[in-house]
Amino acid sequence: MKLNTEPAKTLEVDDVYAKLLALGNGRSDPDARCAMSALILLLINHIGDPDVLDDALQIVSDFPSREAARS
Amino acid sequence: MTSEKISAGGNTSSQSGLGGDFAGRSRQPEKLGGFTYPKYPFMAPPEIKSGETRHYPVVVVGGGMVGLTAAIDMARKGVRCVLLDDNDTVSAGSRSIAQARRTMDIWSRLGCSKPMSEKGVSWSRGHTHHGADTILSFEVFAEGGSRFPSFTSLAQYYVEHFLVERAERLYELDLRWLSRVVNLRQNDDYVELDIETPEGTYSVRADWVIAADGANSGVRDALGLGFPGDRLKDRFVIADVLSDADFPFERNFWFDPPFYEGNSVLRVPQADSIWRIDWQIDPEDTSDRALDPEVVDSRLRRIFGDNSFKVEWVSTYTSQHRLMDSFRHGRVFFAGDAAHQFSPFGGGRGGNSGVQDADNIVWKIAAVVHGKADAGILDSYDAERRPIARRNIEDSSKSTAFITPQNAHSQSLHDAVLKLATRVPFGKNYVNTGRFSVWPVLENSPLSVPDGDEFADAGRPGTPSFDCPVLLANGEKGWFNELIGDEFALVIYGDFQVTEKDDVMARLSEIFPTRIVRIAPKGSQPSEGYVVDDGNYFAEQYDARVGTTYMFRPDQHVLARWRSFNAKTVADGLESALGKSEATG
Repeated sequence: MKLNTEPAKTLEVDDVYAKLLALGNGRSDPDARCAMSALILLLINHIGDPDVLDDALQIVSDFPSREAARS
Repeated sequence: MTSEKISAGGNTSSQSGLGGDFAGRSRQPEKLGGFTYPKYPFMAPPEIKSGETRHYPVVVVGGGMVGLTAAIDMARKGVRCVLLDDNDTVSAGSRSIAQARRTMDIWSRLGCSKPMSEKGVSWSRGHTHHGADTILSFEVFAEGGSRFPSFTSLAQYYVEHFLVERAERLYELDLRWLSRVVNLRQNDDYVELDIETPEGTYSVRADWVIAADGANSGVRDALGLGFPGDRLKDRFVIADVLSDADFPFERNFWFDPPFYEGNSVLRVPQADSIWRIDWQIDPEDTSDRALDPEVVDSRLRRIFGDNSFKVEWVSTYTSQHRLMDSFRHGRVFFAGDAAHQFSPFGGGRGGNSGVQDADNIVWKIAAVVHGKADAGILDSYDAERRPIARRNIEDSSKSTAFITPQNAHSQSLHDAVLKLATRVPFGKNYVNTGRFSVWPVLENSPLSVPDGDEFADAGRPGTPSFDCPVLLANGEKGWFNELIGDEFALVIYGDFQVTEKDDVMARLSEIFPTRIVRIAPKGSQPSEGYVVDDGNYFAEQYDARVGTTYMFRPDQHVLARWRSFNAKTVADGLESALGKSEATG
């Protein structure tokens, strides 16, 4: 696997989380999803490695929603 | 008091604890597990008999853990001090339960940590669960050489009980129960307080007032001061539950557990077979419904399974994040929940930071009362403590934002992190059930002497003393904090010639009582006038080499440090801290 999943020493995780949360501030749910999607595309473009993308997609491939997990 | 609300309801109540509102069926119990609530008697003060208005150097309002800590410290420093509390017993429920190592160090300095250590328990492992899965486990390590664990799990009622026992032995401290401040005025020269008691109303005057009267501070109201911030949407029921369940002695936090879907639950062990349980409720749920005995019992039945249990105390809780614009208003200093409120999932910040407020302000007021410092030093209280409160609000806001998502966007981030936590190594780092409060360094303090020499970051000016074991001259084990005590202390490492020592000490002692502690490196033989850094803790923590000199303040924080001892530099540092450089220069 080319995707690095070890904790990045350069990131303060609580700050990262706060920034992602702030993305939803003042946005409707569809708008927040749009911003999150754009963010993902920006980062994928920056990484520029289809193998890394595929590794990441593999990890989330079976992620269920909250509701789906229950039923 | 058998009021419906413990720290709410417009009284000036006293017991500082979690930074929020308690409401509902949270009546004062007579017993809680093995603890019997003391009744502190009202005794008519001389003012009621004589009708005169007396003047005291210091009045502390609020006999919770913060006010008691302040009053004990003040009286130990020889300052006559009146403590006013509107109640006649200690905290109704467990409330503040995680007593940080630094807080225990403060109580150790005040001579009351021993019964707390004995009664307190500590848990060293924690687990976080999502649904039926355990997503992460962690160990809590006691940092090197410490006398106390990172957190001592001890309920607030025990803390206050032990503090009152200590307070009652102090001649300079006048404890006045069932004494409620109903009004307060101040001018340039003094503060005047009107006090309501079972035997009538009287007034006292004070040079200085410490307001530690809780989240709904009556002193704050009397001065017409605001308490800006937010009330959060998330609500919890918190309960002290007596049970013989043989659960592991560990902290457990559940997100969306099978036994309480869609919400979070926290379970923490305490002394006396009491388990503290916090569970989230719908923001719309009324306290009456959430605290309905049948509802509470059915929730707990699913947590305790077949084990028997008994609810000893239960209350609802709403988080608030609030911060006063200034902790000092004229002659009045606000401390603890009266000055700042955090969410309970902040990692034990409420009670601990309040006790640390007391630790910070008391020596300064005492130095001014004794004529050892200029009154200007008192402004450093706000400068040093308010940034820490602001940081605590930021940190606990982050925890609260993770634990209780408020919209679809935050819910999906929360869900994504909990899923990633079991899939990729970095995922669990994002799970935030409360980051434990950090070592409270007073950054950019106006009192600190900035480093002039090259030093490691740890131990920088403003850092609280890192207590560690040392070998005393007689070969016995001692503690660093006991050596530096609670005056100023000069700590010199290694076999470094201090010239004109007597002259230096004479000059320092004129400014302020100062101790000298000489530390010999690990491996040295104990000898007269030296203690040995047997575990090398001092050298490591303070980046010490031969000649390295640290100056500690009376609250055991680093004031200044140098690579070699220079009498004039040291005296200048001390004078500037006390605001006396102009007066003597």
